[in-house]
Amino acid sequence: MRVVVCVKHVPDTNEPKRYHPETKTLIRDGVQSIINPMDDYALEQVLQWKDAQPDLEVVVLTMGPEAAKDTIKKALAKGADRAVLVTDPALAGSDFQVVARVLAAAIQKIGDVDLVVAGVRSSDSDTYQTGPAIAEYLGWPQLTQGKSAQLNVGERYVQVEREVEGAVEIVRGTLPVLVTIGKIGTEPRLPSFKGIMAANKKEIQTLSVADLGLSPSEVGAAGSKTRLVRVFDPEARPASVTFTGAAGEVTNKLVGYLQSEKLI
Amino acid sequence: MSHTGVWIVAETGDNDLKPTTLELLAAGRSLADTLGQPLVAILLGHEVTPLASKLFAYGADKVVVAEHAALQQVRSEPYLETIAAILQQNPAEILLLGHTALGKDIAGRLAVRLGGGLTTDCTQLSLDGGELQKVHPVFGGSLMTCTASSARPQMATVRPKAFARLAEQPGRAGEVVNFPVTDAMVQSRTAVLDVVREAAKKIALTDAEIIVSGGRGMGGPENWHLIENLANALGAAHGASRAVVDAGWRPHSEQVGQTGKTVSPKVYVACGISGAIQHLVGMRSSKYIIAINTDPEAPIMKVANVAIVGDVMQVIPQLIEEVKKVKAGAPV
Repeated sequence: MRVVVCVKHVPDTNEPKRYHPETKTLIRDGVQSIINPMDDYALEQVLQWKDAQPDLEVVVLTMGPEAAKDTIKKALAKGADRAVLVTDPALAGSDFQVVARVLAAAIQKIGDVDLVVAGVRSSDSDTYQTGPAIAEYLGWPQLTQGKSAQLNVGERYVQVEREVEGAVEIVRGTLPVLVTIGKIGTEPRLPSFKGIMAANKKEIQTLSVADLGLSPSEVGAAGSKTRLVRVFDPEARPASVTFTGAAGEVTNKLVGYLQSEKLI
Repeated sequence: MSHTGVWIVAETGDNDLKPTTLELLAAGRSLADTLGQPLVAILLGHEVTPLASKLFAYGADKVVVAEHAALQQVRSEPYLETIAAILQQNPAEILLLGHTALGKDIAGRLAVRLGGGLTTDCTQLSLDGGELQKVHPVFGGSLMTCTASSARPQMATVRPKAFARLAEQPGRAGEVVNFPVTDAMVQSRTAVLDVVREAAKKIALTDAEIIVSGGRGMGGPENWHLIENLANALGAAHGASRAVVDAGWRPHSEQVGQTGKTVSPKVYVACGISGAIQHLVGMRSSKYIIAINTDPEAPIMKVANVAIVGDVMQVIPQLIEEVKKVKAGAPV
């Protein structure tokens, strides 16, 4: 059984953000990047399935710059079997629809994929839509926003607990299906030394836009349906104050503040 | 057929419209007025037609009702296919959904299916010569982006609480159109085996005007009654930092932050939370941030409007008393 895990290489949230003064786009050069936290959970869930079923083939799929190989190598070190990186200068500025189209084309090129798992959202663009859009391009059903997922290889289904407003749904889908996962009950494993050494021997196949049968005008900013109009700073917050002193004193001041701002 | 109308996807629960639906109507109403086009609500479900009058009362001009027994429960494929069918027959100029579990599930697929441009989690919407300007906060709200699309429908998912519902106009008239739902539209390749409802909480985190949140500085799960009592006194929802969720003190459903929920209440009270950036990105767009921490240099104290240097164990009980007095109208 072949599972594809989609992972994104994102700027580390801990890094201070620096913006290009004119375009106000994020300066990514020289910024530490990491695996998108939610994709790390997705990968961990899939690797737990592989712990139970070593025959499960886990393929990591990423669309990104060459530097994304760092994230891919970490995923391979954790236990994924091989990887595919779609990288091409023409992809810069792609919106989520283009990303999904590209990843769906890569999944079709990989072939014989039974299941696709991805993080529910990315920490940088945060749309929640790339996973579902991939399912749409593949014509597959989906189980999104899962907080856990169980795979039944013999009966070919995935069962997911998904959080909706005010409830948890238990949903099941027969394969092929696309699943998006958020934080699960366990933290992502760290790669072992043995895993890191083994990763160096695992295959990372690189694909270009042309390899996927797409043209430059269909991808990147040119192929995207949304464009950035402008960026701006949020409305200035009310000025800051600090209260120190005995508990009675500070709460008195706080309540006074809340009342004067008409918050209570 | 040309694209026309400002369309919203209504959501229901417990035989009523969800608050986010009324907010979508408010957002859509001003867009419809500017364009001089109708505001249309898509209402899916089983025996939901009576809710049309409430949609009219809160701003809709027309309601397209799609009734089918299989639509009684919100289900991914049946909802996606039915809504897509309606919009393929009636191309929309603008389409709005809530940034809710349903919106996160189907908006992207609708955009691909209909060929539209989608921006998610929008907090402001306006028109510039017929082009929808969609404002969406990024990096935890420290920067705002405005995007637009030349594709139609122009789509957005709207952040809960970003728009206030309009004043109700009971008896306001509108047109109901029934859309025939075929069995083919409501087929599903996935099945819901069970739905476990959360214990009835007073207020959901993403709907709350005020949130009281606790972190490791609260000392332990045994002290959480302080958070709950303060939340009750303020009429607030309560949340938690990742540290206390990972420590098993509180459930993940309460977690605010990068791997939890993003909230933007009017007031966020952070109790014993240091303010790691992964937490800040989940609550930074709160209008007022109040932080209680023994460490004046904790990162949260730098972003707070009111930084209280103190011990939560002493400050919170005192605060609960004073808030109760204010609410009771007594002099403080």
